[in-house]
Amino acid sequence: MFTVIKPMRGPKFKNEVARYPGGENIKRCFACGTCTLSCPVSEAESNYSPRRVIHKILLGLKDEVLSSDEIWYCMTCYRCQVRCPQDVKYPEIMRVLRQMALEQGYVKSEFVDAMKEIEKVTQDIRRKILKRFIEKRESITEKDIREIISLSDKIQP
Amino acid sequence: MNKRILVIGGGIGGVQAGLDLAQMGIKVTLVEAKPSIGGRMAQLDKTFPTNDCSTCILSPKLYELASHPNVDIFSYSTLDKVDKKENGFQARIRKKARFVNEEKCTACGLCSEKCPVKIPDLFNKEITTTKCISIPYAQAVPAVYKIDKKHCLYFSKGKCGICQKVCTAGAIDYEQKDTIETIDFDAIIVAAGAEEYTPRIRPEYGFGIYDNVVTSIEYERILSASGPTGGHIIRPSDKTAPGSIAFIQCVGSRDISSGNYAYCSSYCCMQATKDAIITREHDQNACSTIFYIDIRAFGKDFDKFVDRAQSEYNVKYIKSRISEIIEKPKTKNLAIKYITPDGRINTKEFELVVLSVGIRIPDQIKELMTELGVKLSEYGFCPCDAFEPGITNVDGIYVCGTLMGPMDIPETVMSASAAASMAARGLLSPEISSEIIKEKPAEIAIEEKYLKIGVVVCHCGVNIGSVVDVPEVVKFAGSFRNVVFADELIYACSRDSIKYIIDKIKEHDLTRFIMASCSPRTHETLFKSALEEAGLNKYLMQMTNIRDQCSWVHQDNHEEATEKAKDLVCMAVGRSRYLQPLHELDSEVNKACLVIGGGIAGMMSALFIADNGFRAFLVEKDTELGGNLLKINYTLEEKNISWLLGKIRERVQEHPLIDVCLNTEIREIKGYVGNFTTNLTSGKEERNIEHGAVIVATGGREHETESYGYRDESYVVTQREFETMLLNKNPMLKYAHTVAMIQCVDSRESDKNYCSRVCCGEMVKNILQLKNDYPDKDVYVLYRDIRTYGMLEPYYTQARKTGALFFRYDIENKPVIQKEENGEFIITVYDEILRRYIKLRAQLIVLSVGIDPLETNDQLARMLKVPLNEDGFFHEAHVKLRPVDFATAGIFVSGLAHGPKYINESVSQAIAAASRALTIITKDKIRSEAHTAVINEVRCTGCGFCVDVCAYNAIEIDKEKNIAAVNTLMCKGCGSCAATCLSGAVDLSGFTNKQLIQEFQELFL
Repeated sequence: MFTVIKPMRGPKFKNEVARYPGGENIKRCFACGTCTLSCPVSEAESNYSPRRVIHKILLGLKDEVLSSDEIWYCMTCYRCQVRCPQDVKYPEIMRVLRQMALEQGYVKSEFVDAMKEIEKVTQDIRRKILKRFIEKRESITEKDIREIISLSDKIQP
Repeated sequence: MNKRILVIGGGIGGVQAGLDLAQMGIKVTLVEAKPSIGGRMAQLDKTFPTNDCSTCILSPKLYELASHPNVDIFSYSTLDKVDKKENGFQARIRKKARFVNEEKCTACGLCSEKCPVKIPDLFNKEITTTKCISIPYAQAVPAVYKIDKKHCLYFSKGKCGICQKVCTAGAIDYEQKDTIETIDFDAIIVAAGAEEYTPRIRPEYGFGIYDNVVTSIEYERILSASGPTGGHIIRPSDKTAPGSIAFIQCVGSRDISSGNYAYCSSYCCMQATKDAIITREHDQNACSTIFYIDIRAFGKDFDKFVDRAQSEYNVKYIKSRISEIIEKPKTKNLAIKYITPDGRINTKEFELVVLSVGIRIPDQIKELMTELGVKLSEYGFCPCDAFEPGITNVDGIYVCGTLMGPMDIPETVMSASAAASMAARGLLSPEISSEIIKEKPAEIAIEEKYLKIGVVVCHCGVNIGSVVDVPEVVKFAGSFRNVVFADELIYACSRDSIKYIIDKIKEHDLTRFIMASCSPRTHETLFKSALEEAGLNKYLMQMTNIRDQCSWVHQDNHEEATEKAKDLVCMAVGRSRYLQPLHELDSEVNKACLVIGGGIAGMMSALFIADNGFRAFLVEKDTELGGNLLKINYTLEEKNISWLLGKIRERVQEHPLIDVCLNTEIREIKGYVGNFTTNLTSGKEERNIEHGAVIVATGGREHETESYGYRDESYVVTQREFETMLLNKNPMLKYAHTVAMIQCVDSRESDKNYCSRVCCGEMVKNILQLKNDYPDKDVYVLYRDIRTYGMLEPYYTQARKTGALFFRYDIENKPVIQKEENGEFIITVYDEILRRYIKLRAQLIVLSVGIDPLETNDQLARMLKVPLNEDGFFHEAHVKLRPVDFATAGIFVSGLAHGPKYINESVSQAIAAASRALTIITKDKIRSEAHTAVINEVRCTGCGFCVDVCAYNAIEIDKEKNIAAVNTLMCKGCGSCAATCLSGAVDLSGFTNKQLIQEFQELFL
């Protein structure tokens, strides 16, 4: 499969991102991969790579990025940002992209609201699982966890 | 004019600057804050890419400096104050109290052995402990112990005093106070160096928390045979040998988030490669993995070194910066998550992790520089102009080494040599000779005398005496025929003892003298001078080392150690029977220097020879001066190269001491150090010039490529052509909306397997210029590794900030270019991050083609009888410590002739070459070695084998007699010829067959 990198018409995507607060350092990236290796989401979903998302932005793949699932994956733990040697601020950039996606009609505001709701609920579920585990202090498998939340079918990819 | 220069810092930079100045006849005061000189290099195990033992190559330089009559070393000293005076400076030097008398201490080590207090060993990075009274390392210069007052029981509790009790030399002085000396100087060279980054700033790497995470400098100590683990690679947690080692690169380099470390530290990639290779040499099962961002193997033969690491030493290189290290609680192994070459995430456990820490300027050095009024950059280094490397904003203050920016040993040595001839300006003159003339009593002729041998056996405090039965050895020595005197001394090297030896030589009318003691490396000169004082030829002494070879290595077996000492003394007696007086030969020196090549390197060499008052012949085959620089318009640092070049050319052409020979070729060079005759031809004219030294600065040239359609396509250009297009605002640029740059064209592969060093900087330079002039244009860069080392890294960051896009490609999967019908190019390249092929559209393609050596190098090399490396560049005497010298005395190299490098590096090396040449041509006479090859004319068949093996070109076949003839001035007495000669026609004076055979006969018969 080939990706053809076309010259952009109008303002370039990376410059657009760089103009938002938090996006200003995006062009400093030298693709070292520290962000991807820091990312707890990448640990669960090996196809998710913050480095690749940044690279796509730099390549100007605006449609692909703004319509992707990826920009909603970040759980803003900021580990990548703390460890990035070039101060690229990935979680801030994700915030920028989400805003752009909304502003430019890639998603509706209801979608963003739902995302916020999901974040909240997921955090709540996470806390409950942890609580159950901490109480029992026994070894726990992925299956056990899925049983605890009894949602196993629905959240499987 | 007192002609004294202050050198601040006793690392390899300060040592080299001091040595060069001393050899030019200038007095040097070297101030070092630590108790011994040697600096960082003394802590390294080996040096890349030749894996020479670091201490072994360094310590001869340290001894040479310490024993040079023009040099005063103030170790464990600081500068209280430096005042600017008319035509110079005045410095107040504080010599801190060591509580050990420097004159009396013999470094026997008994005090340290008996001292009850253990303190962290700073030299060994606190991996182990040392005693409260100690010396940093065995070969330390000066070899004087020091008490750590803070931890000493005598000072803190008023008790103990053991060291004073055991010191037989009476060197311990608890009452010693700091002493202050005020000295005037003509100039100052600051070689204060840098320190390593503290990885605690990046807590995710667990340094200081996890036992098995060490820094690269700690690992050097672990590798070192004289280090805390005795050269066994063991990891700190459980003292076992690690089977898997990870090296993490760029810790504290290329990192703006943990501080102001935007620069690259330059040497760490190669240091990790070297350490990984040595690790494998120690343990055939150990596997090393180096995690990197870009491998920066930009130096001479570095890429080949990395190739060898991979192919022969199973070192793995993985392009992935590491986010964190996790320690496994039970095993104390370290888990590292990384991105695999095919883009997956993987985790692997390692038994030891080495952090390749970068360098920075310590605060106290920044303060010193502020005190001196020297301006520093935002990163704390002292940056210099490309054409004036080493010159600071303060008149009379020069800098060299890592203080100027991150650099490796050879660059440090070059910059130090360069600083020497910059600081020396105004202090040298052809009328004043720099050679050292020592007054000594007239030599007694021994030919008519009876053979009378004297033997002294030294106890070396307890070093020898506690193991070897010294009185027994003395008794044994006295039993030999012709031995008329034998005695023992507690410290043969003390002043009283030397006087005693002189008296005894005179009293007994001795004609041979044997010293059974320590290493000739440190003490031979001292004992030889005693013979000279006594009126004996100094080569009538034979030294034998019964300390290192008997008491040290056999300390558990006193009897056999004594027997061996007796054997060694016996052999020395045998050999001494045939020792003959030897004399060095003096030869007049022609005080001019020939510089071959009129590019920037040649011009700078000539200028610094001439600025120091000596004549230079500058020979250029072209019709004008300037070389490659004529085709360069601007650099990253300098916007107007042609203006600067013009000024330099003007200075060269108008200098009364520079004889510029344009349009001139060299037909023949004859002679040897101090006395060369060169035949120059210009058209039909011919002339001979005479000179004492030669500097080869013939340059290199841009590689001619046939790749990527360069030959046929007008829109495929080189970086240099692109630079000119930018300067001229070439109309082609209007059409080219997108510019694609391809790095490493024909470089770092098959028959051109070296990095041209400058292309990444050129690429960055041209991007910045393009984006400055045409901000809307797009730039794609296809690269293998970005090698913007040192202070070039911030420019690379700037280039990325302009929006240029970088794609890494693999040598097995090079970019492919297709031309469209509309004239545009489509470049297909595999994108490692997207994990798919991408097509890029560009209208102009710019190739980074690299630097080739000149084809004519071969011819000149044969004329000068100096070697080329396998790539065709001139091969220096030693890659680390003699980067501008050839093994053949009196011939030096600089600039692109030596290998690819930037303008500032060429200039630095060129001025260094001038310094090295000045160490010769400032002398009226040069002195040969006394130990030289001697040809037995009857036995010699003229086969010429000796000519082939001589590394110094000291032997020629006399065509008339058809026998070998040795040039005594060039001979270094290495003995290769003597070992090679099939007819036994070569003898090495001082090591003759007769002497060696007698050594054995005495022992066995």
